[in-house]
Amino acid sequence: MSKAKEHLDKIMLELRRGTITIGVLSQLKEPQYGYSLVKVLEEKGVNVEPGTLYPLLRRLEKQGLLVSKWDTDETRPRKYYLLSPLGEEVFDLVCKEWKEMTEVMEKLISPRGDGGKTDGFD
Amino acid sequence: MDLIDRYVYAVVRRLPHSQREEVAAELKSLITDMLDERTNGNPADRKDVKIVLLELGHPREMADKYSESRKYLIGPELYDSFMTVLKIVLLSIAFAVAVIFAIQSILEPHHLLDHFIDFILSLVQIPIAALGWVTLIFAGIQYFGIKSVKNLDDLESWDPEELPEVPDEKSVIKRSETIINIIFTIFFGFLIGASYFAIPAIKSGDSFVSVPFLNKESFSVYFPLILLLVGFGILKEILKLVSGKWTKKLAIQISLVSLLSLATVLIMIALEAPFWNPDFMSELAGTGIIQPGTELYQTIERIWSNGTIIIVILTLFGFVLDSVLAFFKSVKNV
Repeated sequence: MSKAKEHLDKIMLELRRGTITIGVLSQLKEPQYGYSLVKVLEEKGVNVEPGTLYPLLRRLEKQGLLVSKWDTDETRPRKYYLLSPLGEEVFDLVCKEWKEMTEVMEKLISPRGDGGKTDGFD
Repeated sequence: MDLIDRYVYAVVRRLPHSQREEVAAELKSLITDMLDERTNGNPADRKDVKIVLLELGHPREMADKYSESRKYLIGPELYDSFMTVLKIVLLSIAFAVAVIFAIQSILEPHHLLDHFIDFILSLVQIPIAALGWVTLIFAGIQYFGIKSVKNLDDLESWDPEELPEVPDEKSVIKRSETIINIIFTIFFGFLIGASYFAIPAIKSGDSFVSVPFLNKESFSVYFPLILLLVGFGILKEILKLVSGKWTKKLAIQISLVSLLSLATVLIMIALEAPFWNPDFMSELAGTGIIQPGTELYQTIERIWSNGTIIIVILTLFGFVLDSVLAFFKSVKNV
């Protein structure tokens, strides 16, 4: 059982890597600072470690998908991130791809024809 | 809170200078946010800080995530060759040091303990230096030579027609050949370095003597250059080993190294310090193996007096031959 769990973890890790990026892009139509984004994602059921999220934000900014701005008005300076026009465009494209992909995957993994019966055993 | 500062420092010191300030500020505000969340705005104590930092993960892991690509001193594509060369070099050094210890012990048996101490010291010092040089050479190849795919376009627009031919037997460089060459080069370097580049002789039955080819006084001037030549020799073999087959690129590299070797030889000549042992002929006569006046003696004397020019021509010829052969072998297989 633990062997299966190990494999599951490995596969999920790979899967999550890509989805986190999409998740982050999806939440940045409004400006967010790092920790508020962690919280927002958490509320919606996506657990991202801060240690993963922060470098990711920076990387996306470097790639031009996000823009950032330091807000020094508050008691504590915070860096806010927001989708750039390019980021919005990319996000829309990714969403389309994602929907197609999930449809295809759904067809692949759900049993053919009717509700979940496997053939041959009664 | 000094733990936070220490954590942030531990992360950013692993990042490029240009990113440090920004990442530090961001990390700090993240950590304080996390602390606030934990304590509901109450002052945090050391335990809270520790828990938050542990949640963030090891500073090295954190820094790895910040830096986009891993940088290699010697990348995975070179690592195998690196280990092979390192093993060969270290083994041949051990062998050479042992042989020299044996020679010394036979020549001067009453200084056995000194020789043994020398032997142990050499076994410690020389391999470390060799490790450094081999690493340096490979790091250089990594830095200048290995181009990772520059951009995605290169990966997308490619023509199967442009794939290189599978090398046939003749163009494959035999590993054994390069290995033997490296061993030979190192051994030669050692013979010169230990000033046993000499004719050993038995002096009228009482003890061993040797007649050195080289001038002991000016030896220290030449020795670094000789080391350089040995280094170039090994570099050539490493390039061959890494390439694995004869290609035009390899031929160009080999020619360049040959050119550098040639330049080194020319510098040695330009130094005009006495290179050869000036008393070679008289010392040789002194051993009694050759009598002055005989035909053999005259022949050797003639060769000796033209030694420099002969060696220079031979090395010149050798280096040119090396380059020409490399080109020939690479063209033959296209």
